[in-house]
Amino acid sequence: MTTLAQAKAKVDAIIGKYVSGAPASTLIPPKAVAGKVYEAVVLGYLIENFVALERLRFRLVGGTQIYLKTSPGPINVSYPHFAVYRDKAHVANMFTDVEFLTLSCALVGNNTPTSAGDLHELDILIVNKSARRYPKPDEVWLGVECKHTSFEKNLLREALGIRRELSVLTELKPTAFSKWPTMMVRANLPSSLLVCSSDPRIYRYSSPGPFFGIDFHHVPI
Amino acid sequence: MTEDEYPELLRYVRSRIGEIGRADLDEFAYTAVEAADRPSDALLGYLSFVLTQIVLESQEGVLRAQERLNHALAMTDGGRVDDLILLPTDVEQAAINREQVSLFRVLPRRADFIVALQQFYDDVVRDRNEPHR
Repeated sequence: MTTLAQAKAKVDAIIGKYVSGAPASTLIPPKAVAGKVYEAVVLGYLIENFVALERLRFRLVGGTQIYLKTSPGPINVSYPHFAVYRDKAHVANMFTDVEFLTLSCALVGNNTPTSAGDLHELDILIVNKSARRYPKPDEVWLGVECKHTSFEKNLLREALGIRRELSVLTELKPTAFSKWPTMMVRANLPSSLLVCSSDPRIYRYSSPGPFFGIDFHHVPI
Repeated sequence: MTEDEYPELLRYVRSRIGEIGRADLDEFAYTAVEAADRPSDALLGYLSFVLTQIVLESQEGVLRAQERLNHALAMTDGGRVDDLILLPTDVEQAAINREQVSLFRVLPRRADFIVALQQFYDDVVRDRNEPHR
């Protein structure tokens, strides 16, 4: 049984290890770095599950590095990305930090964004292999939000907003997937939307997910 | 330790983290405390958030992410990830005078700290589950 004094001494020793280590990088704030590294953790989680449960294959093309942008933008196929195969056919691509063209923009007949409100970022996106620039909602297979932060209700509202700009509520329709992360969603267009968080409290706010076609996953590091 | 001693230990941990200039880390980790049912849960939640954050802002996080990716890619012969590259905005590039940043190269190594903190976390779990003598 540890006493309070012994526990405090342990804390002092642990803090000493931090102080004696290298200083934190001053190039990019630690919080921003952590969020980007968490995106890479989620990429691994996705590939693990798609390979095991969907029999999809992923191939890193265009390089051997993963590029993580601090600000989102259009698809850039010259950056390394993942080609997605079903059986032997190349069917889709997976990118990081890409903005998609909103449903509201597409439905009023604009194929290109006219204002910043016509685009929304997703941390990870799987789209038709032909999708370029800002993919349209009908080109999206899966959007993923990666949240390394305290999971509060505003993040649920954010996900509901993303869902609204990807599809309209309708009867259940099949997604591009047979099992994982979900095979049916009440959405037209029937993309999958996944919110991953390092905070296990993500499930406090997940109750609207099954109805609106949003999957909430706690993905520990 | 008894359950009523954990709030003091949490205050002590927070003060020490503040002393090393990581008020940002304390603020982030303290969000784990609000939903805790008992003081030891609050401490464990706080420590868990500190641990997660430190891993993700260090070389250890980059390595863990790469290992997970490479393990998954190896299942279908999908290539190999050698590094994670951060692409800053144009404004950030100008500020840091770099077009891209290799995360493994710029992030600090924190293995000793992470191992010690994980051990402390496990000690707290074990201690609170032991019957008091």
